[in-house]
Amino acid sequence: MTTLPLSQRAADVAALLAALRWFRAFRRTRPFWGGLWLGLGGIWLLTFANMSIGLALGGGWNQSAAYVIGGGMLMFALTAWFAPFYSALVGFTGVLLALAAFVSVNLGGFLIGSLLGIVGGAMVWGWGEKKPRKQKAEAA
Amino acid sequence: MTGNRRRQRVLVLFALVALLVASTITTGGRDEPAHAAGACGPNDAYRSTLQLYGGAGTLRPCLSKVNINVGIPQSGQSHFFDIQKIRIIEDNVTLRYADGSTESNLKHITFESFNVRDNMTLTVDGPGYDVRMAPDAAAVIGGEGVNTDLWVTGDSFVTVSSIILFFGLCTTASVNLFSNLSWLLNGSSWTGCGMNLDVRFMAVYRPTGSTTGLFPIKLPNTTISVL
Amino acid sequence: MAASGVVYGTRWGRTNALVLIALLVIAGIVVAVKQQVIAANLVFQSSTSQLATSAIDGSDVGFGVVRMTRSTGSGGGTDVKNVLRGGFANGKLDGLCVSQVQSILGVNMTLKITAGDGVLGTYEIQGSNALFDIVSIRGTNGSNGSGINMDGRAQFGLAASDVTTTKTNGVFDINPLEADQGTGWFGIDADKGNLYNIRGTIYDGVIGGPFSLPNLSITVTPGTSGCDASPLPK
Repeated sequence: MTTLPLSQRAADVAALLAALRWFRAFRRTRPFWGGLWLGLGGIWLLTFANMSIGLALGGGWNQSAAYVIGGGMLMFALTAWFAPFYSALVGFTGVLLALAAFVSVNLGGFLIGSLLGIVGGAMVWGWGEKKPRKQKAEAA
Repeated sequence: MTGNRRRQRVLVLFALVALLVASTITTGGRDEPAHAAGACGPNDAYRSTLQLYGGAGTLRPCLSKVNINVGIPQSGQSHFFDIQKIRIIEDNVTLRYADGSTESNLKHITFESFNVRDNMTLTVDGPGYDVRMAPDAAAVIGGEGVNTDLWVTGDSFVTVSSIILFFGLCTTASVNLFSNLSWLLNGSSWTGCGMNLDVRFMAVYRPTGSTTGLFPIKLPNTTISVL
Repeated sequence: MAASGVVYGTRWGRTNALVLIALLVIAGIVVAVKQQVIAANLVFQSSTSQLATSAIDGSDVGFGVVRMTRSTGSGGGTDVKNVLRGGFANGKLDGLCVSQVQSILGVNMTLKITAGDGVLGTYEIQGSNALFDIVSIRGTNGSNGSGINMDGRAQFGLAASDVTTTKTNGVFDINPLEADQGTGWFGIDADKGNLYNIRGTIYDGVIGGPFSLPNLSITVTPGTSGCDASPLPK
């Protein structure tokens, strides 16, 4: 490995720091983690959409259910990131999709997809302005 | 915060609509049975009307035009099946198939109490596939008190023996000759050495009494496979 | 919106409440299925599974050769297979085991779905409108019964689309096997089917309608050991 000139290294570090700062700002201004889990749940369902043993409860099975629900969870995860103002609605829809996945898609990708979706969706739903502790009594 | 509130609203609305559309499009599509007007041609006109032997009823099947070979290869003088009576019912039958086409010069024969001891394979020879039903040994395609009606080609044959006739030796008779031999075939119990029937349609039924309870198809130790 | 001093983040109280509710809903569904309140559809698809049951007692039974479109893994690709589709309007099963070997991240895993009360002859699994897409099936002689049996007026050589199984308001549904119309598709129709000691290779199986699966268990184990050979497969 060659040693980089000090100035370039500093520039790299600065760029990295800037990226981290941008990422931190990105994270803090939207339901990042909830969206991430919800999206991973969707990706999980999509990945195992072709799983060969399926178990569907209630209404009929539809092979495209995995794509609709998995894709929907992924879409709402991105929506949560880019429309944080509506995070309550988006998160709640995500949880509903995750529950629907449990009923109709391989028990929610053998539970994992549904659990990711429920936790992620609920986190998106629960995301918002954190009230300072002293206002807690007032809010209640 | 990314974008303004209006853009976010549009995004959320878009997502909801997309989900709604996707779920509407994809539900209910797969399991739609083919409710064609008439499962067998227009107004079900392509059904065959077939009389079962002995006034046991009329069937109106929609026929698949697939050959079913009932094969019991002969092996010396070994006995592989038993039939109480072999009857020819109609000498010149025309069957109509599901696509409206017809096939003439078929023979309608009946076996009474058909029991297979060994060596039978039932092969369905479809376009691009075969279905094989291969009992390891004994099988019943009819059985005691049951008639097996078969609509077969004339060159199908059975090879039978009888203690009192042909000195007990295996003798082959093609279905084309059945009408000439009917006096013989009707009158005796037969032990079979082999058969090769090209069957277009087969109905197994109990001529009298309740239609159920006898289990006319019994395939113990049998593999059915699609090849 | 992101005014300085205001901190955004996950409000865990609300979050946990919703997670709890959702998990309760899932638990409720699981309990309902175990107590046979909700109907379940069991679906196996894409590649073959091994089916094992000690007995099937079905009424209004039919078999027909159908073209089955199956997915060929990722990418939404499909191909077409001829299978013998067995349809049962109503059926009871005496023990059920379905297993399939899957390669998950390069490791062979066996997915296995079992159900049943573990007692021979109780026919504890009940369902209606069952369809199995059979590649091969074998019924054998056992203490409980023998092989593949059909009762009533059995017809061989029907068009698969003319095979009848399920009824709506007392009238047979048209083409319940969803077979292609026209000639070339062989079918068998019978009033009743009793199948004993069944081992089969199937693509796709659906048990629709009300369906009870007592002691349903789904396991994923490393290796390739499927349903065992005992009279009540596990």
